[in-house]
Amino acid sequence: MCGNSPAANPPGKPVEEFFAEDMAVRMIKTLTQTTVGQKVLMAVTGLILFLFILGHLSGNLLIFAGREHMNEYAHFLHEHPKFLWPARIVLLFCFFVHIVAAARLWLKNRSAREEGYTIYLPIETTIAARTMIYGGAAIFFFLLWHLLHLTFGVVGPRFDPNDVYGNVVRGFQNPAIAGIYLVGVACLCAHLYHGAWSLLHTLGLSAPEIDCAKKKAARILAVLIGLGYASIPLAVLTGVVR
Amino acid sequence: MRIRLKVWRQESREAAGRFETYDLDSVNEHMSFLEMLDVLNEKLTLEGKEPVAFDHDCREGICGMCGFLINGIAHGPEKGTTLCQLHMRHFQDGAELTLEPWRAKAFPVIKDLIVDRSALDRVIQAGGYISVNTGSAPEANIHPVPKDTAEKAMDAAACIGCGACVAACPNASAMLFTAAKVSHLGLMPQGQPERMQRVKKMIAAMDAEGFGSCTNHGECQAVCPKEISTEFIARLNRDLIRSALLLTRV
Repeated sequence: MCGNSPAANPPGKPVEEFFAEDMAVRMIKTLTQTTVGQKVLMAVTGLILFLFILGHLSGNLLIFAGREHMNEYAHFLHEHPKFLWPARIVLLFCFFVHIVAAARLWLKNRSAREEGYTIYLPIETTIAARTMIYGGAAIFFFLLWHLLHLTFGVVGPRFDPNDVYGNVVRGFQNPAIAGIYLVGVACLCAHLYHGAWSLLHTLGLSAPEIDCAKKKAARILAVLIGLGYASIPLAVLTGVVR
Repeated sequence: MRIRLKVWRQESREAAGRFETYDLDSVNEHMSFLEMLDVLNEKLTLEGKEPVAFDHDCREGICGMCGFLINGIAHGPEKGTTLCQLHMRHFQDGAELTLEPWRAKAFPVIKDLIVDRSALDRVIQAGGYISVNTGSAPEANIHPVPKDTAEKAMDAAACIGCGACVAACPNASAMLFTAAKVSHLGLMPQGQPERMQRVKKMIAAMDAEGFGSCTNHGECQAVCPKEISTEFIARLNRDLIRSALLLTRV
């Protein structure tokens, strides 16, 4: 085995351990113990959550098709627990990994610059990119509220487990509840505005020919997702959906 | 032209720093930024004061020694330029400029505007060697390299290790530097035998030095005097993913 001479590896640098074990251990160590590995974990789980957000939106937009279609779709999901529960478990696991990796990286990043600049003028970055951790935390609390409201029926107005359409409409007719959803969706939109293309870059998808289009496409998709989700409370508030 | 400078002064690593204001009345617009500081230091020396310490060497934009922030931008407002190649004509007469050293835990301030960047040297050291025969020069065409690949490797190799990427990154991450160093060898045939080991060792060394992680802000690319692309960061990520998925020991 070449390349492990003392000259190549300064003492005190924990590099030997990456080369010692079998593939599974090596992979887990790379993913959990290097910053780049943790970013890859965030990107993969982020991609799965992104696909869920797209699927969830397509189901939610059935509200514009009417009460029967929406309730039929909800009924269909509950009729198939063999698919529903594995999907829920995968999503919960992704949330857990995404949040733990984000927290670990955020703490490392914060400690990497102890004394800040007196004047610091960013050139390239966006507000969305600089608020990922705060937006992510806001989305977490919004998600808890959303589950309590429309999955468990603990908060908000009268809850009927067999009438999803009615639950949504009754909830959003309250401007305060609709407002919470609009703020939550805005946070989600900002999170995806940076996250959707950033995850592709982290997974190594980058070339000068595609980088501009990649960024634009991901940002447009993020805004469309935001508008799609926001359309539901807005439609109820304005009386388009009753 | 008249220039007012607010300069970070710090006696030593341990000492607390502060800004001090200096006025220069007759700055020539053809001076480089460092020549303007030479004039300031001459004035300070004649007044019996301690001159401002700043790093510099070649003064032609290729050595990577100079670097600090001017009004919050690493290497100043001109794109793709080191401080030594930045001329005073790019500033307004009467401008007030704040000079601050690179700030990162891995870059402790040594004095005034000079920081210790040996963390970057240790990241390079961790990469180790490439397996080539030494002795007489090899036959020039023994390893054919496509033109595009050679150009891309050269784009990465243009990194002068000045540390502006770390300084400009909101996370004080050294990813662009490490990515450039990993990529210029990883693209060439001579760099293949140790390619998978190298990426892991250099990332481990980068993490151990206390740099932050990359969150794709793109600030590094925006201030890089050699305009190195974040495309190389994606390439570094690809190499690490590949090295983790390899079935054989690397």
